[in-house]
Amino acid sequence: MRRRHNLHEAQRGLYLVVSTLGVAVTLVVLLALWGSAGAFAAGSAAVGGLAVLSIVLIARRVGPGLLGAARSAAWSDRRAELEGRLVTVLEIGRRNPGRQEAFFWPLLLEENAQRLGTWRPERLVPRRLPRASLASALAATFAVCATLVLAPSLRPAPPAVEYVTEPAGRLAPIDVTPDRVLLAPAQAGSPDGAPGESGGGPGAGHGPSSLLARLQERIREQVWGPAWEPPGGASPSAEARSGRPPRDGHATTRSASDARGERIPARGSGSQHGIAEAARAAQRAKRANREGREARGDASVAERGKRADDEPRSTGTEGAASGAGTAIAPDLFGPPTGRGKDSGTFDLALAAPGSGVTPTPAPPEGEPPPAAADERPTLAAGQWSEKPLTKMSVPAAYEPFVRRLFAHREEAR
Amino acid sequence: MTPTVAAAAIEDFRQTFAALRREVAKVVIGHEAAIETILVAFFAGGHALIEGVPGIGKTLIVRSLAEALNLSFNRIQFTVDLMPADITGTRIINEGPDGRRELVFVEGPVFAHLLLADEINRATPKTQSALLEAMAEQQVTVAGTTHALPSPFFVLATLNPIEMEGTYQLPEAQLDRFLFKVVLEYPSRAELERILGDTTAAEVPTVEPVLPRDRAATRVEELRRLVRCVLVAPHVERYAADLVGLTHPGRDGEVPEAVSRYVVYGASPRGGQALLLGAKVLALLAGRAHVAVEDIDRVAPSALPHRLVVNFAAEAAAFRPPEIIAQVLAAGRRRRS
Repeated sequence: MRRRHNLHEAQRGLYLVVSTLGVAVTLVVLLALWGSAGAFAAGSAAVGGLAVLSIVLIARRVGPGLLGAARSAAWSDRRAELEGRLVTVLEIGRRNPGRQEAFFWPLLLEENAQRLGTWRPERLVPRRLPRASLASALAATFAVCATLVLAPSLRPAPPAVEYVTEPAGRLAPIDVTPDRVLLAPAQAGSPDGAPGESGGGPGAGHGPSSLLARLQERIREQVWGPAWEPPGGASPSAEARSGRPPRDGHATTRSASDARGERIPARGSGSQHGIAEAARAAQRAKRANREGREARGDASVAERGKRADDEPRSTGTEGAASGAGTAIAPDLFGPPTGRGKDSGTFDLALAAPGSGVTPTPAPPEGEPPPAAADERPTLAAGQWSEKPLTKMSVPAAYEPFVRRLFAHREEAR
Repeated sequence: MTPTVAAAAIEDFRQTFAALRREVAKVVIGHEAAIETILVAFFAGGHALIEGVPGIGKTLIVRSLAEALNLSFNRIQFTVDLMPADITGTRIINEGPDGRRELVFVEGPVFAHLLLADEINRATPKTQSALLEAMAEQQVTVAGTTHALPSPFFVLATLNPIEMEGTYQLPEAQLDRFLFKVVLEYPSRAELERILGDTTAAEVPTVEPVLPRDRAATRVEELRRLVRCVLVAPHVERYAADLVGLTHPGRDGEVPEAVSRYVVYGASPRGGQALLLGAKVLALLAGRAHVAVEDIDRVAPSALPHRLVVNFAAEAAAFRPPEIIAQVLAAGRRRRS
């Protein structure tokens, strides 16, 4: 009986917790998809707090309901309205077997035997499943599934792209889903050529609000797909859809990948893939490659980075050609091993100079200065020889980038 | 012992109890709860203190009960000049036929099965204390000689709450020896009409003895032993002990606020015994061979209040012991659940 009752109570608690979490998740997803950043932050905090409070209340209610060995007899007695007969027999028999010879002991035993049917487990706990709790759990789960299924179809229309001649620095970033995106020339004097990066967009800053903003963005990406652009983000795909010829310039707002420290130039793309999608694929490949490299303890990374620093920069610090040898991410294109097309990469010559928005600085003229004398020749003897890296494996997603960046090279040929 | 015999014994007890109540109810109009409480105290082997205004039927109840039980009955009207020897008896010089004189013990009115101590608070504490040994040990000691009292021995004392002049408060030790204290309230209007009609008619109802004269004492003793055989589970004993403990002040955070504020001394272990013995009688009356916690709850309002010694603040706030016990019961139920 105790096992049956406790199982019933545990199920009830579990179903109530599932119901609570289901409702909470549904509300959070709805807030993330259609709420503003502020509404999502406030709403998700409130929903989370209420969910935690509800779970605590459920635990406090269900916990005492679970029967231990000592309480089970009293509970059964009370439930079966035995007026203490069962618990008296058990307690007296357990404590003092000698008193079983008492005058009324046989009568008490017989009374319990006569009422045996009233305290069978099937009668005291008639149902194995707590129906109401189960129904609420199923309803909450259905609500979550329905939200996740229906949400992609309710994705808001992408914003239209318009081009203006006014410098983007005068345009304030927005944090709601825009119906249009303005592409404007870069503001003169901007340190990184990314006007509009005043920190007002989602994901900017640190702390709980930043975490909530990232969570909201993450939920939108998961529900609306990786091509989803955050509110106020540049939408190159929208630009492509607009049918207008791309012009040099920057979007007024930042994309999600931009917020992660990777710049995506707002140049027109003639490829089938959107730039944002390519950037995300590159991000994933970069992460995988970095992990693999760290596992191998490749010490040449720093050296390659230094070498890449010495190479002429094509687009400045924010150029997409950073994978071609800038100091920002020398390992961006993965390990320097040749891979075929099956691996989804292609080989890129590291010496290939790229072209960027800003003019490439001219290489220094004249003979290089003579090398200094080796002060510690013994150290050189301990170094292992390394083949020079001439090519680097680049993920296929970067192909449109790279082809465009190195187009002048091909044209020269 | 077979279950059938035990069940028959319970049924016999219930029938005897019901017959006694029925006979007493012939002459005592109303006061059903008080009569039942007095009978419970009687079969539990204790004594009862009845408090009520004059003319409400205290003496009538006791006398009717004695007639129904068919036991010996004595009445002592307590007064200020009553001496202990007037209760217990004394030794007198008796001259025999041969002219020899010897000291002979003459039993006092305490030597009876039922003793009515009418207006017990009018006697001095010294005289009141003469009953202490009789009530607790069912014996009296006179001039170094102990004399056993007849069994069963049952003291019913009455207390007049309104005439305080020339009275003496019962000492706590004596109050503690009363199993229950019964408070008689005024009869209702309908009961009063019946009282007026029945007691002024040509034929006054009389009480018929329930038990045969020669076997009455034996039968009562059997029934009292039966009461003692009722089973009590440990959790019921714990509950009774909890209730007694909750009347003890000084346990901050455990006892009710009323106990902390108003009670000077709580119930003694006799209070716990009274709870269990009374509950055993109630269990038999309910046809059960065991005590339930509900029996304890029913007994507590009669068994505990007169054992509390309250302070002046309680009297100033008109906070009476029954109200304190109500809080104790509520606290006990919370602790039990």
